[in-house]
Amino acid sequence: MSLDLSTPVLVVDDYQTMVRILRNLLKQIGFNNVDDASDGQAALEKLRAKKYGLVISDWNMAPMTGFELLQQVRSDAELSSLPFIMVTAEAKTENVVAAKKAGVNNYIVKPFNAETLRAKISAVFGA
Amino acid sequence: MKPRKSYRIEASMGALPIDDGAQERHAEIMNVLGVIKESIIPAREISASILEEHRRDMQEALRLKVELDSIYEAIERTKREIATLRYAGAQGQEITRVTDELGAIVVGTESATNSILAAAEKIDELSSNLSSRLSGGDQEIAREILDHVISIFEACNFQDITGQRISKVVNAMRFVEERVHHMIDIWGGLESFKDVETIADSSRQGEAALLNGPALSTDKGVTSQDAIDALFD
Repeated sequence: MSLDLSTPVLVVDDYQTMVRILRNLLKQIGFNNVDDASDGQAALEKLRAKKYGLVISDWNMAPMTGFELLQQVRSDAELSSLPFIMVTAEAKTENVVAAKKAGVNNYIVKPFNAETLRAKISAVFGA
Repeated sequence: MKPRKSYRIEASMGALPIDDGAQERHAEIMNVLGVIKESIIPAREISASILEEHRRDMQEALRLKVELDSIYEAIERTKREIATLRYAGAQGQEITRVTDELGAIVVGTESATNSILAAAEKIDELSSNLSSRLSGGDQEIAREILDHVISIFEACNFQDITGQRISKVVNAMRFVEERVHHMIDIWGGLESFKDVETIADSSRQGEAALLNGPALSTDKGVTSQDAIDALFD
């Protein structure tokens, strides 16, 4: 995978303030093609309707959590290789291990800074 | 041994056959009678025993009464605490107000954070425009402004975390609230608490009783700034 700043990014979070923060930080990194969804179900619909290059998702959302979204993405033949970063306040080891087992590419614990986001995205794309 | 006395009836019936075992059986009967006599408890002793048993029962009954009284008192105190929690918790308001206050904090900080973000986005936009028009050291200053804008975006992370932490507290409060409601139901519902005297909050007297803090949008008896202005005009 290579880092292409023009690739569409999907931000998934039920907190509009966090969506706004992520949009701005992604803009600072150079991503200008950013969409958002308020839960896993809405995100899955968007992922099946448009080709995205990266998903940045919260965990705790309803009706579909970010973890369930990750499982759905990894079990979907069309989406299974999509880079997926979890950005969440869930910091327990069991959460991180579960997400890793489910196939998450990287994991950021809130609160985070722009440098952490940049570093994790770079790590996912091997940049 | 004295010679056996002869009765007239015996004489009239003629001589009876001599019973060799009579003396022995007589002695045996007398022995049994003696044993029976010894085993019979005198009436006086029986009365004393019954009285002692009755006295013990009375003492036990009194002890039970004392325990029942203390249980009754404990129940009354518990009911008073529950009633206070239900009616007078959270500074004279219902306990549910606490969750409303916490909800108001989330809404208030979210609104403030969005205002900060909107201002930061505008500064970001203006700084970018300015940076493209400047050169040298001036352009560097514009870049520095942009870096600080990123810091503002990062700092606004707090709102999400704060909101989630408060949600946890709200859930805990709701749990307590539910338990109080269940306890009230166990005691027959709210109706059975209407006459229970609540515990007075001594800190809510005098001027302190006027300090209610920020009002919720749902509060009654709150005066708007316009109404206050009208009062002073």
